[in-house]
Amino acid sequence: MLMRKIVYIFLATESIDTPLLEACSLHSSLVEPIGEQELLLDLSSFNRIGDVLTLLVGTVSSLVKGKAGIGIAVSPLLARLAVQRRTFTVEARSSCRSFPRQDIDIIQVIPGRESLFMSTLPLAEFTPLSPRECKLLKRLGYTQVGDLVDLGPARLKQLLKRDASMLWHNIRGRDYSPVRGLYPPERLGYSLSWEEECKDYTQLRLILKAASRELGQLLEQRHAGCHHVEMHLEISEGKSLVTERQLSSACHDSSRLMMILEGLMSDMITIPVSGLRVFLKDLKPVEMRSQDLFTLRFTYQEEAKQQKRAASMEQLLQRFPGRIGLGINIERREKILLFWDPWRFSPEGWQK
Amino acid sequence: MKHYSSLQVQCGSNQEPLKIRYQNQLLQVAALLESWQDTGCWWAGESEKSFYRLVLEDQSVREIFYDLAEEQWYLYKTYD
Repeated sequence: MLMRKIVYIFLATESIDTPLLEACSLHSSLVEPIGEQELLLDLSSFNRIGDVLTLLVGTVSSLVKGKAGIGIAVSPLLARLAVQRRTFTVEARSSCRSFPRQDIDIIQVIPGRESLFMSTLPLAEFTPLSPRECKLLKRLGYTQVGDLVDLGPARLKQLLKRDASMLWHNIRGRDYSPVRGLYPPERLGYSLSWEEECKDYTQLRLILKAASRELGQLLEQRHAGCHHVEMHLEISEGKSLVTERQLSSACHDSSRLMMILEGLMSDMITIPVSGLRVFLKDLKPVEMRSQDLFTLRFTYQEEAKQQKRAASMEQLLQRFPGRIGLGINIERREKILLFWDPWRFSPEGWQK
Repeated sequence: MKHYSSLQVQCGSNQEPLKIRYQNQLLQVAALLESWQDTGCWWAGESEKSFYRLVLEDQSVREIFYDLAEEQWYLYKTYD
């Protein structure tokens, strides 16, 4: 399995601006700004991230005037908690590496020591718990995240009165949440890795569904549609297979995106997969208009036909000026008879 | 002007049609419903015509006309 390398950047006194985002997007296609002061960066595609980190730290120190924190870990949650952690016991220090540099604190959760890092974390600093839940657990005598390991998911669910399956993973230092590629604005990205290689189509389909739902929501938020879909499947030894599709019409909803992704995956399904990356490119704004509930559909069709007819007529008139007319040519005699002959009176006759 | 099928018509003393021969069928006029004179587009050279709306013996309703210039009868219209 490819180890994830997630970088979390936190600016204490200023907001993340475009030059920093631009600098980060040079190193990764998965850059996710969170709010004003936080940023996630997925560097999993690099075997060694030392050089990239040196460049990145240099960029941050040159662009940022105030204090900043950089967390490095195998998941977004751990990278974030590493930066935000205030209390480090001796035990906790053995799970991290710290590289203070002027105004930037760089903390790395050592790969393989995630559960140790998490177990020594005070409950108040464990962000997946709400303040109310934290208060409740403290009242029950739990002070550190590690104290909750013995509870088990069922007991946690009973205590917190909510689905605790994800929380249960987080308590043990596991976090599978993806880093989304939200920068640059004309591109969207989604990345997900899992622990064991998988070639079960049903399971892969569920992963694709989650990806398309997430990306569909982002497209909806941006009122945009994509014209190009690219899918990377991570296979063994850090290699990845890439397929892509240029779309004839913009895709702006999750159901169509799911169909496109299924189509792209069908060619590669025989190989065990350990991660997925999806990029939606060539994003363009979707023209929005409210649904007309008051006009019947056939009116639209009739209007469309009339417009088409008028356009064709216009072309013909330009080609054969004065020689073409629209409709059935009624003889003058019949037109006159329509005025007085009762045998010719009819609804159609009156309209003519 | 449209092309109309020519007819053979037998008229009475008042010049109104009594029998018409159309497609090798001789049909008696059962009733004369209407008649009118049509000057047509005389400025375009069209001749004057006499029109008759008839009920024939087979219960069909037809309009026929007599072209005064050509002195020829024509079938103008058949009602369903």
